[in-house]
Amino acid sequence: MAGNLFTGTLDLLILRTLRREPVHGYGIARWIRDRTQGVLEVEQGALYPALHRLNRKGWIRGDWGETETGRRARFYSLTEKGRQALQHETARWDEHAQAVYAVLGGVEK
Amino acid sequence: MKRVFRTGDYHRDPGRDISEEIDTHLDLKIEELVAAGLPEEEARAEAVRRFGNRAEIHAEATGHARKRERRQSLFASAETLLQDGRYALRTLSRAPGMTILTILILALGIGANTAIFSVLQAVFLEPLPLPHPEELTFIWNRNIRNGGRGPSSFPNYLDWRDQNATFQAMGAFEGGNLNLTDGDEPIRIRAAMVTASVFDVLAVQPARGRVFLPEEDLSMTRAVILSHQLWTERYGGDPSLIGQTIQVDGGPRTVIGIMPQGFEHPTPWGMGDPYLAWIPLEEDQWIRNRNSFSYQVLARLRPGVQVETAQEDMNQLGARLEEEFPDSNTDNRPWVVPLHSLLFGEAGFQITVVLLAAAVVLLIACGNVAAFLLSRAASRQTEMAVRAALGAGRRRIVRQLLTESTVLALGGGLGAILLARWSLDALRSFIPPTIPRTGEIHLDGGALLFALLLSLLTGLIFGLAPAVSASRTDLAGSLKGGVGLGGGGRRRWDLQHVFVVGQFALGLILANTGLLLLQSYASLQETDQGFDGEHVLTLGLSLGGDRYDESTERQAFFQQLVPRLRSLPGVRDAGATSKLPLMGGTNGPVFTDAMIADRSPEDGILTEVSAVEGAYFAAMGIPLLAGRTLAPDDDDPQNPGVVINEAAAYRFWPDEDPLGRRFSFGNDPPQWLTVVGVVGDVRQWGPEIRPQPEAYLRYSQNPRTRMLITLASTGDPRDLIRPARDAVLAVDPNQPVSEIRTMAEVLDSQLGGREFYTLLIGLFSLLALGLAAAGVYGVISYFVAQRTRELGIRVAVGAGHARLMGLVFRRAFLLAIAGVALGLVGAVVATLVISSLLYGVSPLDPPTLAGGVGLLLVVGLTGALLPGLRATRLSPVEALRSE
Repeated sequence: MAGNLFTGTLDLLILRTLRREPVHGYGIARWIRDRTQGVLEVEQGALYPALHRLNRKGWIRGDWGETETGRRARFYSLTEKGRQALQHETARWDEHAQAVYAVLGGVEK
Repeated sequence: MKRVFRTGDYHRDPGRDISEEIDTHLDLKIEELVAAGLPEEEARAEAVRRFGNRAEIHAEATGHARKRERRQSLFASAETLLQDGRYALRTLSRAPGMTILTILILALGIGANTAIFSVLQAVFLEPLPLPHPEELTFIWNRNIRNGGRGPSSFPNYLDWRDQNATFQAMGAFEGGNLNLTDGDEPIRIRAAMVTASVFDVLAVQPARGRVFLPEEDLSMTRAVILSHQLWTERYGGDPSLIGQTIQVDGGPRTVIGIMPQGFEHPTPWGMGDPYLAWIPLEEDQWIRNRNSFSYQVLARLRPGVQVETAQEDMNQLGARLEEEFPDSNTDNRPWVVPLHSLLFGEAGFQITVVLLAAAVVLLIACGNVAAFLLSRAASRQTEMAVRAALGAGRRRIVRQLLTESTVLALGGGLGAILLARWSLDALRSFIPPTIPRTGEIHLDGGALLFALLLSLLTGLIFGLAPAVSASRTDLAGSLKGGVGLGGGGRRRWDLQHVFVVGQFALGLILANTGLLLLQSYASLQETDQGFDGEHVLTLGLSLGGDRYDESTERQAFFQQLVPRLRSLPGVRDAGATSKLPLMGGTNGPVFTDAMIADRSPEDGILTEVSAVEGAYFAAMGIPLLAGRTLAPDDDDPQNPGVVINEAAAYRFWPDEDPLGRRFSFGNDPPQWLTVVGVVGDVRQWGPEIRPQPEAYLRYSQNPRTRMLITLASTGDPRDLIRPARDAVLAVDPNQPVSEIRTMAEVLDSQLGGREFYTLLIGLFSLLALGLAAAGVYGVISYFVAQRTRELGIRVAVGAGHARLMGLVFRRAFLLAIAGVALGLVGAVVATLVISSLLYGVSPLDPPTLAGGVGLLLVVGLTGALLPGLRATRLSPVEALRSE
């Protein structure tokens, strides 16, 4: 996988993915890949543990449902707690990114 | 993407879910790859490769999922429990009458047990407020030949103290009374004369000042230690009292210490009359005499040493002393008695018996509760069947029914706590003086917990059977067959019969016990105690100090006092005695003239001795049976006269006239006393103990310092208290009077203990009978309801009322008989257990047992009465229609 993602960042991406509507596991990986135009490909090895960890924290919820093609899949959605966490974590990540840029900004492009 | 409704995440295996998720993911990936042009096989391989280590992923994801499941299911359980609880309350309130009755029954059963247990706990099971109370013992002197036990002598104590190997400290004391004569009001208090080592044994530090030093033993140090209570009540808690002198027994003593609040000095007779002051043991004419057995010995075992080990050590020591001092120590051995076993004693046993009775009542009550729960479960069979059909698991139904019975039981538990609280207050006010430490009785936390646990247990156990049977109902069968005719019906019926039979068995045990105790109490009441129990007043006084050092001075006092008392208005007779009936004794060996003439080597006959003055016999109401009472002539030292009681007359000279015969209290050389009269017996050692032989001497022959004035009144003896006190003060203004009692009070205090537990057990027996009647009523009612059709048919074909009643009664009778038969063995065992409490009636008393059986049969028939009447009023038409 290109890029080294910290676990926390993956959680954040998953939460963001689920902001608008419930998505199943495979769909989440696809969405992230598409949005980053292939830069970030989530390792399935990291995805499912992350999903269940977020589920355990109570930030997302998993319900069984049907895909368009009629397959049974588990759809994840944001809980209220998850929504708040998304806001909070996004702000933090922003802050973190700004700080890194502040340092890197000194390097010539 | 669509979503289907959520069917509980709860009961699915997380591992399987995750496998499915992963499979779906892989499938979708393969689809994508195939759509991009890869052949299926390759696509599959690629997808699997990209996924990674499936097993690892599966494991990690499953781990998270399982943890979440656990937490959720916990919440879910709590939620359903709450739901069940609310539902239970609703359904219970739909049958308010029976619910309240059941709660009441439970409350009575559990509350009674909790209250009695609290008493037992506070009074007997709580350890004493002394350091390591399990190490404390008394060491008595025991005669291994005749089993008599009592205090030790001082030289023996010293040898025990110096030669033992198992005790870390030992002390000796003697209980007595002191007059405190400073201040306006002279009082007489209980006090102990102690060796300094007594405080080492008790290991208690004084609150102020110090305790005695070893060098102060047997010295003439005029020191005194006061109890906290005395210090605050009489001296206002004045801290400067230490070092000051107070007047004790006519002489000054320096206060050197105050004991801490709540400190109680153990005595061998429980904690009855506490000591309020301590003085050092003094040298007197008896203390060096190895034959003078007046000293109580308190000892503390070495840490970890068992009582048995100490007893063996002391036995050997006792044998050595016996060899060395045969005159005094023959057959005498030290006897080590742990303090807590002494305190428990008789009163503790009585309370335990009461607790057992309460436990039996509780068991019977549980039978009623179980029957109630069974009938509820049966009548709701339809409801249960429907719920089962709708998908409620069997477990859910059982759980819900259990919740109901637990809610019921908890309600009973709460009621029990209230009842226990209230009844403890009531108990405290009429608890007899035989039970010590009553001030400490409270509803203790242990008992409370005990009550709650008991009620929970009851709910679970007696709700389980009905719940399980109800959950097994067959829906089709019960809906077709109507209420109560499902498969569970028959089983429930038999179970109820079993419960009723059990109730009757237990009821017999309690009824028989109660009847025996009632008879004991009645026969004790009837027993002639030998004295006038209604008109006699007694007052104690102690002639101490230098003023009364000489015996002539003491005699002079009484010679002045008695005529004064006699002349008071309302006094019929006046006298004095050294000891009262029922209050214990003083005894010594007697050698009759016949025994000395025969030179028989026996020990003397153990005989009680009293010193009397004035018209004691008339004042106490003791009848004169032969000869005359004592007169001044009997003071003649050449020929002293003595009066004996009937028991002595029979014992000393069984077939001969005792008047004119002689006996002596020693035999080397004999000091003859001539019998001038015989009086009636009184019981010296208690209302239940046979009268002992007794000899009455004139005061001048035995001029003790402590005497009790006895007055026979024409009216209420209590009216004489003030005048009698004034008469004493007129003779000696510094002479306090104490222990003012009427003989009625003395008798009451002795009987009080028995009255207390007899009353309680009688009450419990009545309760048990009532509960058993209710049980029978329930079973027979159900029987009538079940057989309505059949009974209706009988009526239709001409069966009379008597016939129907006969049917009903026969069933009740059979139940009662079965219960009684079952309970016979238990009843017999129970009476053997309480045999020490019986008086005037033997444990295996067939008439009483028959009475108990009869009582239970009556109860059985009574319980069946109403349902029987109902059966006779059945209209055949209705009966045949009912189904």
